[in-house]
Amino acid sequence: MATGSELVSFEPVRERLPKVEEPAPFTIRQLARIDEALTMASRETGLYFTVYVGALDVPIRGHAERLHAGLGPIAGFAVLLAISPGQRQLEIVTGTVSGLRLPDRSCALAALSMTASFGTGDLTGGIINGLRMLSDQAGREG
Amino acid sequence: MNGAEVVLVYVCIPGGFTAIVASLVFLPGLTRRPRYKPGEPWPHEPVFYGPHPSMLDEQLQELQAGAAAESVPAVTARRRPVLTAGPASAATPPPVETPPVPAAQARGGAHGDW
Repeated sequence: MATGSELVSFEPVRERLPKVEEPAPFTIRQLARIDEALTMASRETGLYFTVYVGALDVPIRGHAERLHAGLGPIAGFAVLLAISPGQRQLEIVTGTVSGLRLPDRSCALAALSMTASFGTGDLTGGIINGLRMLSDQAGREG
Repeated sequence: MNGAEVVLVYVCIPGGFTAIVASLVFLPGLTRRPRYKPGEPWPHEPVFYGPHPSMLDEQLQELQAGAAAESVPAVTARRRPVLTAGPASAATPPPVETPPVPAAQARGGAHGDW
């Protein structure tokens, strides 16, 4: 059971902790959920899932493909979810290897689910649902 | 019941109860971060998230390590001076080094809007 002295010493410890600024646009809790979904999807499938959230230049597809190519040698195994909330646009880009396991029809289904969540303002839920759907479609490696 | 008691019973108690309920309803919304609303501009900087490298399998870890190693000479090559002194190089134009263009490895995907 906590004694009175322990309770008194708790306040200075709290004050010494560094103030964690929540990086925009997601809260720490939302980032943790996205991180977990990204990690689980990548670990289960052996593919490299990435998420970009920000403005996309027109043509949207060209910008998304440049981002995908910028991943380097891993781009062939990568799946990029490029989301532009301001333009209300979503682009899923698969690589030469990841595209074999994720046909365009599967990506379109995931995109439909994601845009349904985005339309209600739930960015985090849409990203997580999309990652889960894509990882389920890709299946396990091997 | 005198005037003070009437005010206490019929004004202060209902007013206090209303204030408590209103604070319970509206305070969480005031402290919460504004939620994304479709159609509104997106004021945040672009962010790029990927899985933690330690969680990747060996093949992806090697590829990612290779990408990091390749990027080092590419950066130093751009910083290296391209013009060298001497009679031979004076006649020929210096080679122009262009930044490496990543090869397109996109295969497919999908598009969506909302």
